[in-house]
Amino acid sequence: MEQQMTQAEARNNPQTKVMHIAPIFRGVIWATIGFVVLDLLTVAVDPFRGHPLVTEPSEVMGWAGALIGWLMGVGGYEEMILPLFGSPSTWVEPKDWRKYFGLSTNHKVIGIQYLFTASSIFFVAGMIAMAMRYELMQPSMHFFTYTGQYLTAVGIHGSLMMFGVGTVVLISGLGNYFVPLMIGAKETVFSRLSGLGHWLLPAGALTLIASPLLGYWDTGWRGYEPLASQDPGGIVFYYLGVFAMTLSTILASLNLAATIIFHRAKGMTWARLPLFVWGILTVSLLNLIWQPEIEMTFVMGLLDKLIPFHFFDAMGSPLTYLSMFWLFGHPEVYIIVLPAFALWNEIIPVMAQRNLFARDWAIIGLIFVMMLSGLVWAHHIFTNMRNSEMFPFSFFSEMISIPTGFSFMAAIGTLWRARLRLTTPTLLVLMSLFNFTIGGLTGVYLADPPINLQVHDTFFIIAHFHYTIIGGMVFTWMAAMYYWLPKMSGRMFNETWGKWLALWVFIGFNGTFGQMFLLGLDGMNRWVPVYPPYLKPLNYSVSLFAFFLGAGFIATAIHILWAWTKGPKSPENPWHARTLEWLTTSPPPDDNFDGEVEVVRGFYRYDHDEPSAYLVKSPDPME
Amino acid sequence: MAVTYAKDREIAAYRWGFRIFLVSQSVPFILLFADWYMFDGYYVSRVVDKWLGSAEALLALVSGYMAWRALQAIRQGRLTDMVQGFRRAAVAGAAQLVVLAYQWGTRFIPPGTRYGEVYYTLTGVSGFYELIGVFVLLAISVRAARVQFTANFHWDAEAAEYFWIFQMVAGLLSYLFLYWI
Repeated sequence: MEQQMTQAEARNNPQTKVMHIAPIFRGVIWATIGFVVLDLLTVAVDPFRGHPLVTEPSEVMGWAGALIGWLMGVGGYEEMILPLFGSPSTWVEPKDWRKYFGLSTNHKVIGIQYLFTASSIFFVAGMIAMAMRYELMQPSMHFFTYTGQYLTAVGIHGSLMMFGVGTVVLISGLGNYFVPLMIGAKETVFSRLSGLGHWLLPAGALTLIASPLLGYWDTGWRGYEPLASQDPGGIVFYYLGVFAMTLSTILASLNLAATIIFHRAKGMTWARLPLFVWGILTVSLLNLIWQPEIEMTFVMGLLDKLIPFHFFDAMGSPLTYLSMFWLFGHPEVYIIVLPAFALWNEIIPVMAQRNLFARDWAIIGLIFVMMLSGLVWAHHIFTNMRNSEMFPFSFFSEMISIPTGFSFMAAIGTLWRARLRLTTPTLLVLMSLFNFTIGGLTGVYLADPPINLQVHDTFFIIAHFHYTIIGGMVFTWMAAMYYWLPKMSGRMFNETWGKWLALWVFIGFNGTFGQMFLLGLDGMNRWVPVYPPYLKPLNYSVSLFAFFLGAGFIATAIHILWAWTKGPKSPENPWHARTLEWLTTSPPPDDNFDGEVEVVRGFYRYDHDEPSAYLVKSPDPME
Repeated sequence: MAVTYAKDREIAAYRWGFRIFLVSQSVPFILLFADWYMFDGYYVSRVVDKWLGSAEALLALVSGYMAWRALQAIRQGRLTDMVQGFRRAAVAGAAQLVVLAYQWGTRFIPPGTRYGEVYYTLTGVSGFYELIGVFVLLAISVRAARVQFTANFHWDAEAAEYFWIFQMVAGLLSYLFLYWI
């Protein structure tokens, strides 16, 4: 028996379907219909909840209808439902720019869709941050009218940044684009599922952005109970929006993990797997464990709100919610920064043209951070614990700095006496190392109960986690965008502009968040739009730097977009990198490689001139 | 041989991916079991109807067995038996949902108690997975009529059976926690 088993194929030849409207417009129409139908049905069955047309249960059911309509409309109906029932898919993926506006099965298109959506979310959430900083320039309310507006802005900013940007750009965005290329794969395992998964992200983000329409919610991105169960209807859209965005992450992670395990090119052994791929594999496993955990916690929160149950309110156990949230919440931080750690050691050896120092330890570090990340959560809730309970969490929170240090060790060891090319990606990685050192060291302080209890809920905490997330991840994201821009677009950015913009963002970032440490130590509380007047000068200064930082991000985005479309043509391998994505053309063809890839040695040794891999070209069909 | 290897790898990837997805989907159940313990420790309410609960568990077991037999049938190339097996399993699963709906409708278990909250949440979540499972079983049985499933070409049926067994195990564990532990 030659063929053991395979997926059954449809008998008939597919009758292709030419869409007369863009799939996203059809998605909007179907989503509207879905919302109206299920909303009205719910109101008809359960009418007496205060409003004739929109009630909290009808919001939930209407949202579910809208989500299904949206996913079907962008292409899910033809690509998923018809084949499920045995009919051939009639979906046609356009070859031109229109491919970005509907369901795609090409991992590079999906990666760019994710990058574009997440960048848009970054812009919206960033503008909200600007509004918050404008409010905090004065000690009294002068921009927002109600405190609820300010707190809702804080919540939407945090939730969008964490679930729509932090978890997304390096994993679903750059991971989707580059992981298959870096392992020599021509496609991903669950490409349709991955394509559908992207469209959950804008749906979730729009849900969150629309949440104030249903009432201001004041819990922040943490959805703390019992406050959440007393909040108006906006909190319902917080739960639902986050649900859609985390589901998107789960699908992307599932696809990437399966692809890494099963679609590696010949010779791509585990010992040769690129660092970034290791990073994505470890965080994919974290996502598959912890994203469903927070989804179920939010379902319970939703039930508390709607029915109402009393899981987490004063009749239940608010502390259980806190634990359930942070059980996910702290791994989430590592989900965000682990790929950044991996990218440091992806970019530095290339720019130094030097062997990666202690490669194995860099990978062991990633794996141990992944494993320890589930053991530290309670340091977020020390104020609610007995001293004896704090010890294990304090211990593991400090211990996790050791495997984190392995990534630094590999990076610094590689840099040691290296003749480093100080390109824009190099500069941004060095800045990221600097920033994360501050974020990480303050994290070690915060793991100690005496300091933790002292600065709890102050701006010291805000400074700390922005140093890890913006300082660690966003700077690395920018580095990776510059590093891989020639691959994605075939064009090169302007080095002078790149470096000046990097410096601009670096000064803006450190000016904003460095001062926030002082602000926190001076007694500035989180979650308040009104504060004692003695804190005004420092707040004013922080806000000015924040506007400077925001403008720097926008200028960087404009520069990257300019380079992507109008930049000078780039050489095929401008950095002289050895990983597989540079073995193919820029931008890569639809099936990634014009032939079969065979890896013959590791990618991080620069003490010889032998190639790491060969591309055995496919014979030309015309010959 | 190269084609065979590629196809085998493809199926292995689907199989691993689907299994890891199911492991991931077990997290919500683990969370609910753990939360219940953290709220109150486990206990069984006196007002619970163990006969109806047992009927549900029995229907789940019968349905799981039917789906397993259906997969065995297609492994031996008996397509009609597979289609019928999946449809019977879906009917048994739907019957279990009807019994659950009856239990919900009667409100024998007051929703305002801690046990009631856990009962409605746990049965609601496992019922949701079961509803999806019924949909998948019916969809695959329709698909089997249009697409050639053979002893060697039936990953779709295997995936449906995996999901059905997953929801059955989750449902049975919920039953044990709700009615016995």
